[in-house]
Amino acid sequence: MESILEKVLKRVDSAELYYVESEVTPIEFKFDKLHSIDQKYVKGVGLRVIKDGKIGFSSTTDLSKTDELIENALLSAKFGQEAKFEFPKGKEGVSVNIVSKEIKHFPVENGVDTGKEAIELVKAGNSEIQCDVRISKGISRVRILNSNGLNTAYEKTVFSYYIIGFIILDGSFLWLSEGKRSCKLLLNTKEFVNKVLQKVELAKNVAKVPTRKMNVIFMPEAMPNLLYAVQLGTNGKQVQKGASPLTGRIGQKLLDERISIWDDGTIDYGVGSAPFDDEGMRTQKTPLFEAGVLKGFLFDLQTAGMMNAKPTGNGSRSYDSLPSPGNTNLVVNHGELSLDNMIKSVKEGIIVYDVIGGGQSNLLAGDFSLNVGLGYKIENGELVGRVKDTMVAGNVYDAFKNIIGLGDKVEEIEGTFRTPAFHFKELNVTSKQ
Amino acid sequence: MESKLKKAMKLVDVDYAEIHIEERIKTEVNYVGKELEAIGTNFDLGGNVRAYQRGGWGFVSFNDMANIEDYVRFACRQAKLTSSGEGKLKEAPVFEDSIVVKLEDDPRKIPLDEKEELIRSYNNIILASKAIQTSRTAYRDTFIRRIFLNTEGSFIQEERMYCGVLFAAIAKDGTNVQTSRYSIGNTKGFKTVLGLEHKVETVTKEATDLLKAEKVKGGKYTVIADQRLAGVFCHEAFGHLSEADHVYGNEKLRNIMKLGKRFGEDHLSIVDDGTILGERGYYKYDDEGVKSQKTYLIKDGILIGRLHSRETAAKMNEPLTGNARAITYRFKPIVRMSCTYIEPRDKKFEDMVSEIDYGIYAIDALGGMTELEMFTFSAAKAYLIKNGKIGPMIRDVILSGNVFETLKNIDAIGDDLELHGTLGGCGKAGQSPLPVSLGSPHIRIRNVVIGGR
Repeated sequence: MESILEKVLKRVDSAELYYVESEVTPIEFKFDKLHSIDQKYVKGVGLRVIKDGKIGFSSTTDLSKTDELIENALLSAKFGQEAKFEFPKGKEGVSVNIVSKEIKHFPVENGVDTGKEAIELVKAGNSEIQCDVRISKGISRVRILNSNGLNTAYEKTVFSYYIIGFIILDGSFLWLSEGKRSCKLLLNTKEFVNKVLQKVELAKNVAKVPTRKMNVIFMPEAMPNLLYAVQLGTNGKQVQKGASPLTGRIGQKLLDERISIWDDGTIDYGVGSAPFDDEGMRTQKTPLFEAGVLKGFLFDLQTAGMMNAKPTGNGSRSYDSLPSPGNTNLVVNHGELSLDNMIKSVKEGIIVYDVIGGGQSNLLAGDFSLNVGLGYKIENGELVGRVKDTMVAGNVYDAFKNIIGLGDKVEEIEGTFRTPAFHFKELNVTSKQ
Repeated sequence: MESKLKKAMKLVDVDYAEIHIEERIKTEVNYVGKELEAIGTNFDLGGNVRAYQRGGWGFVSFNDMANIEDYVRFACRQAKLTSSGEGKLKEAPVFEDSIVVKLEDDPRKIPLDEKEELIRSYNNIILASKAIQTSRTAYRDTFIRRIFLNTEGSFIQEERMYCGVLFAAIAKDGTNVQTSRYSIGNTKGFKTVLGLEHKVETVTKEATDLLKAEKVKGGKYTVIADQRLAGVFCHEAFGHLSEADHVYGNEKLRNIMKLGKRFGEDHLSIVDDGTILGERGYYKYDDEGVKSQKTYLIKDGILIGRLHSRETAAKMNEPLTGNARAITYRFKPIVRMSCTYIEPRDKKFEDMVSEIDYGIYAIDALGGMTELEMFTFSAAKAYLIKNGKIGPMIRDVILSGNVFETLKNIDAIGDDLELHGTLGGCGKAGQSPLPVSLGSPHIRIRNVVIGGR
């Protein structure tokens, strides 16, 4: 790495190398049986240069071709954006735990045994359910070097474990996914299996849903589909382009005052955590909404420079692209309502555990229109059955203003979200029935 | 390289193994608003070893060519570990072949300056409009050189050259933000991206028009889908169910997807065809070294075929179709579509419209997803049809439903088949975007649920 940097610095004043190396071992069970064990080795390097004030970039996975890498980066700089930043000086990263020895030394055979046990437990609970299990352990190393003296590296381990139950109930398919992703080793087989079994049990009856506005509870596992809109809206790049509906609205109260949302790259074992971001800036906790008031946006170096804003340690990239603002871990504060009380308070409504079709609506504007993958009808405070062919639609910013409350428990979802359940006063529910 | 790979292959001590080596050179020009966000060329060299032992797979992907013999051993060891003791692959012909890209307007020969100038000129058309908040204009060409060899003696080198553009115009009025986009991508060369000024202008105008469009009222409608939207429907809602890896392990699903069953009226035929030269979904050999072909999925309303890898074809005892594909060397081949379309019939578009009292004309898709029988996808734009005439533009038209019912509800199929590919592609099992083409004539569907607000 040092030699590439030396070579390129003969041609330009400012340069940066971003090197990543990873090993991921996914173990996959399909239709109740062990299907495959893979190993993925990735090595790649991205070279960013600033030449005559302009940014150039290229990448390669062939470390024997560094001359081409340098030429490509310099050619790109001929057209590149005007650089609005300088490469950061070497600083110590934030102290955050993202390495687990248990993951590093987790033997493949244990993964195989875990998967088998999960499938046996599901089958023991309900022999009609077919199971896929996905277990994956990963180790990655990131190294960043720049012409301002930064030379730093970190290691991260990620473990993910998902049980996907599949059942046909009265002629239609139902998928249920339970599991977690973390920098820590998580082998909560019993907990995941029990959730799968409970959800199937509740799904046996099908309940009719009218087409109208009604009370809707989004469980934490369904919330990322709505929080993506917040991530897009608070992304410094969308703001800089003026594309975000939040542009120019800092200080305004846009959400219910019980909602606070922040980005935090310093949470121990959060999958989005790291001592520094992909440009070598220290990670931090950045408030996005505080008590419903818009507080800030997320930036990388270049976007912050363009906006005259402070970088927030959210430079995000892979080795083959330039950095752009990206979330680390998105956190929503908890509320007061227990799940039981939420459900009991609903006269007629639905509770949503899983949706399909995320990302298709005009999410940037906050609009969503989601097919309910797994959800139940609530009547007079009780779950009466699964809903079928039902869509939930609305606008995230409107919906987050009209809440009955938030759940009292924050749950980790997909490793990078921490959110409670949301109880919305009314969303549009459309049913085919 | 060839001798090194063949030598490594000798270490294989399981039923079957293959090695892929892939070189990719990608050049892109990417404008977002006024700013050139990315420009330049990235180089990628990598490979994988996949090994099979009676029902079990091992797979190792890598960038480091030096350790290839170790990777062969790892893959074989994993295959043994996952072996269930039974299972085989469908027998496939052995090929030795070499396919070289021959294009007069090979994008690799076009200087970066020229690509940048073209994309900037398209981008400027969008930004010239007052109501436009921002834009996205992207160009990408990808040259791929692949080597495939397996323990059965196949040795195939195949080059591919993809090229395409995407433009999106984002219009804004207060908190109302609307996007309109267009993309084209194929294997025909650089001419694909030339002379698209009128398309850019249309996209720009439509984004602005969408600001004023009324939101659709949720409910059940008769819908005419244009070629692009119908293509997405055909691919997303039905095509994925024809991918045998979804089907083989599940008896109940196998019954639902039983060959010989009626899936639509006599007029409905759906095809997957990877042999159409120039299409984005074109390839000569799939990632198991099996030749691409034309496969009827539905013919005259009856389900008669499905798409296979060597593993699924053996499990279901059905013929090979050449549909095992991976997006890059970092992934295992899985069953994927190539160029999937609904065959044309003789209904005129004008007649389809004039027979509708109250309905929707929905055009192109912003996205689509399915979860087995359920699908949902959003039209890029749409118009109300009233008393047999196309009326005002409406927005937020999101179609959803049950694919089996919807296929049966297709009551008219047009005479105007169009195939198309984009800069993006299909996503499945974490592999996205895979180059595919979609297509259809205009189709009319009764009783479509439209989610509205």
